[in-house]
Amino acid sequence: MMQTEFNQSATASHLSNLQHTMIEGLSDQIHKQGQSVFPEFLTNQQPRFFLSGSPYQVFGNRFSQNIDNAQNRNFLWRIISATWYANALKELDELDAEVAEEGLPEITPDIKKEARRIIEKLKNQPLAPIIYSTEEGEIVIQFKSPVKSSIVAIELDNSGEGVCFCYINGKNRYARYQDCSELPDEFVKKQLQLLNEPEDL
Amino acid sequence: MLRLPDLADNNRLGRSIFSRRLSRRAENSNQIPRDVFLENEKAESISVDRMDSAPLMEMALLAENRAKNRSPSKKFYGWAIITVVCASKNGRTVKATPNSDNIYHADIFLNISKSVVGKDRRDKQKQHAVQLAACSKWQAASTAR
Repeated sequence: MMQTEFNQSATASHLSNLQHTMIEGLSDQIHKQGQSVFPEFLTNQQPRFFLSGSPYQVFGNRFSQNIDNAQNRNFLWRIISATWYANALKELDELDAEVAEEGLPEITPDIKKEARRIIEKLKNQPLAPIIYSTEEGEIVIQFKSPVKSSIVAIELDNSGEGVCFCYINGKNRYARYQDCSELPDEFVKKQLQLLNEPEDL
Repeated sequence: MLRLPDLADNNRLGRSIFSRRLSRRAENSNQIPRDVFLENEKAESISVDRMDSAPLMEMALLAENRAKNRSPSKKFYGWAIITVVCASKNGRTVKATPNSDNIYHADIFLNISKSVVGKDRRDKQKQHAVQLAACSKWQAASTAR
């Protein structure tokens, strides 16, 4: 029943409310299954784990292995992705107010549109980004690994250029795009995937 | 001027955050925004404080005074904390640079070659900022009170 509702209504605010209900509903089940798999500090704070952008990815990865069928696994991932997606759109909408408050260079509607498009394209991956404006009039969409000290930062500037800065497993990777409409390409998607993998020891 | 011990690898450095926009992200997520570690284009280093050399309350008062003396005046929200060993990776060096206003002051030198200029130089600074942000953790100013 809840799944049907989830499929039919995709507005950000509705998703946000719905996710909360779902997460609350799943909480008991997750907690029971989690007992045997996760350290206590993870299972104790499970609901906040999904909502805060903290390492819910680790939890989700392990928990999803315990769900008995693919449909439910996909459903769980859709909840996780949708959680950050709704928050990210909200954060993007609030940028103009922040820019005015801190006296930063104005962000053009075109670049906001591009940022929205990139977020939309990445919504099926589970890492929650932070989105912020810079003192040089750029928008940065930044993803941090839940399992290691690694970051992928996508930067869009008002001239329509884009850059992807990556620091993963102690190594730098970097790609500049003359036209940010090329983003997110396979390079970016691969880097985001790498954020989820544990560091080689 | 009081002389502090030499910097050790495990010493913690604090990058003060005076932006509500950036501190809000740090507070609400598990990550420090890259721009916390980004100075202006001409800067050779990132200004930080040695967090293990004085009580947290004293470090917070120093940062609050610095925020008030800025033009326009700012508010101090917290620190991005990084260890000396992490700050010293990828060609960077950390040096204690005490001054009359702040004996706990230190700098993370980026050591970018003078031959790298313009957009390439800015991108190098941003790459360093990404690395420093990846290795740092948020500490709210309120924890000092």
